[in-house]
Amino acid sequence: MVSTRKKLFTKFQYFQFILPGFIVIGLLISYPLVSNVSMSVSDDGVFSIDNFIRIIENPSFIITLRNTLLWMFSTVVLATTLGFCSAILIEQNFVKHKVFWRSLILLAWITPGIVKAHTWKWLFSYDFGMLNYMLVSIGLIKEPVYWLTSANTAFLAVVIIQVWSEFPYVMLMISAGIQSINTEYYDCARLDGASYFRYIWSIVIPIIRDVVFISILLLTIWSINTFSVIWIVTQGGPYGSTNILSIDIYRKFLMFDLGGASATALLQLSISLIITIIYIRQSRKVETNA
Amino acid sequence: MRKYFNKYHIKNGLAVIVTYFILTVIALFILFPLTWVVSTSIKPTNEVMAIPPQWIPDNPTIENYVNVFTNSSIPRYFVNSFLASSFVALITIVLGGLTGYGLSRRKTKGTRAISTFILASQMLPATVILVPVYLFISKIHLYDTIFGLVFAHLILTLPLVTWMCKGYIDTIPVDLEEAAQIEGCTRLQALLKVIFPIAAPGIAASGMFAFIQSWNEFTIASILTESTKSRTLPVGLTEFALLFKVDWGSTMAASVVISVPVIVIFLFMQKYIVKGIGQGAVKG
Repeated sequence: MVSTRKKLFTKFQYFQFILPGFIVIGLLISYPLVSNVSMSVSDDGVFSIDNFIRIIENPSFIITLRNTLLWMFSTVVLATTLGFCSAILIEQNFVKHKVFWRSLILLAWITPGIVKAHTWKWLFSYDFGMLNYMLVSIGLIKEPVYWLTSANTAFLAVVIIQVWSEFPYVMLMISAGIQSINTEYYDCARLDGASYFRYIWSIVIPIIRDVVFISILLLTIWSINTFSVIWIVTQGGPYGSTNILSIDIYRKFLMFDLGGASATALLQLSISLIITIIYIRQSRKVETNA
Repeated sequence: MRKYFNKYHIKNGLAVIVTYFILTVIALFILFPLTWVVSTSIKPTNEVMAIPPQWIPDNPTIENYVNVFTNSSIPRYFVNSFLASSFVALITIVLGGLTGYGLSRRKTKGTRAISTFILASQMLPATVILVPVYLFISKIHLYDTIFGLVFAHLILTLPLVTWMCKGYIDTIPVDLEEAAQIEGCTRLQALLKVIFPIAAPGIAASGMFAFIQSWNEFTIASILTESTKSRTLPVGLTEFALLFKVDWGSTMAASVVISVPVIVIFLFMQKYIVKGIGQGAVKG
């Protein structure tokens, strides 16, 4: 009796499965990356870092960079906070129709981005915007606000749109995390006289910490990569107040400044790559713990 | 003990009220733009710009939808979008399914490195590939064609689908294939008759996520398409909004038309939604 279990497929056969897709992905990813890098450091075929010097010397560059960081920070913090709070609320024992609440909030996430952008743009508009009308009629503001045409409020407006569309993701992730917690923990905490807040703080948060961290990293990556919402709502304006790196790349592309666009793209890529690396290390850690 | 329960009860009653109050506020925040889309899309022109604006139209009408379907290029864009997204979904599930299977069943240092590379590729931003993809697609004369767009969308979707398929196949025990072989199946039969039927729903769901992503994608589509021949709905809607600047009724009707397929897909595969979204399958 031969007892060595035969492998299903030989090593080579497994590679037959992996190879076609891997080659395609490899080419699809590496070609644009390599060509982007080479375009950004060449000037008519000669090596030069002029593109980088040019974009950095532009006085608007520092504003764009500041906007990008502020955009990442504010959207991620707000979306995480709101998503966390709604998940905590929904997952309380007494809340009925949990699936209903979760699906309702998820609607904002599944609506196509382009539809969100156009709808919010109209809601924020000065003349016929529903938002101005509602805020005036409930007395929160006296005069209609030029949401999208004044530099002070345009940034706030796009942040609101982004938070609206992304906090459902955090809600879903944290809800799933809480659901996976053994209910005995809850009963024990209750018997020991812990308040709900204490239960959240001392039991739930330590357990779901990894999930939250991973969602924050994903949100951050999506946040820096956001393009269409800002482009459609403000095109980076007014006065560059909502200009982030991705908007800058697109505008340079439209003006046929391909070298400048590639150099800026490389910058955006480096930031998102750093976060991606942290993301991958973190997912690995979670995978091995599980 | 009794005291404890009383205290607990009152506190709980307050918590119930506060919780439902906050949840209702959040729900209104979510629904506010969405109901506005639907409500505007069924308003006659004179009501769209009415001051004060109304949530429920006095005379609901389908004229905006009729306008969208007869007076604009939206029907053509719909077909383009559907074709492009379907091709993307088909190609990704064939390639992604096979690669995902291989990566799931053979775990060595090499295949793990490939998996990591695929996971990282999934994060590649559309704006970073903008310039090279535009130049490449123009060079191979696929500019302003559906195939050019499919090609570009594969960059954004294939890593994700592969990663998801690997995840689904990871959950199918390898014992099943071994049992099939002991029963006399060949290797390929074991794969086709045992694994494929079990993995099929998950693989199909991954394909659907690719479909949705391609359907929603704006950045790349806006630079690779120029005419009605290849233009997709997201780009078409933006053009529509600029062209009919005052016609918000029709713009909102077109928005509903874009959203319906996505929402229908979600309704049909609710089981996979959480898992897919958890892996970042659908971006806003």
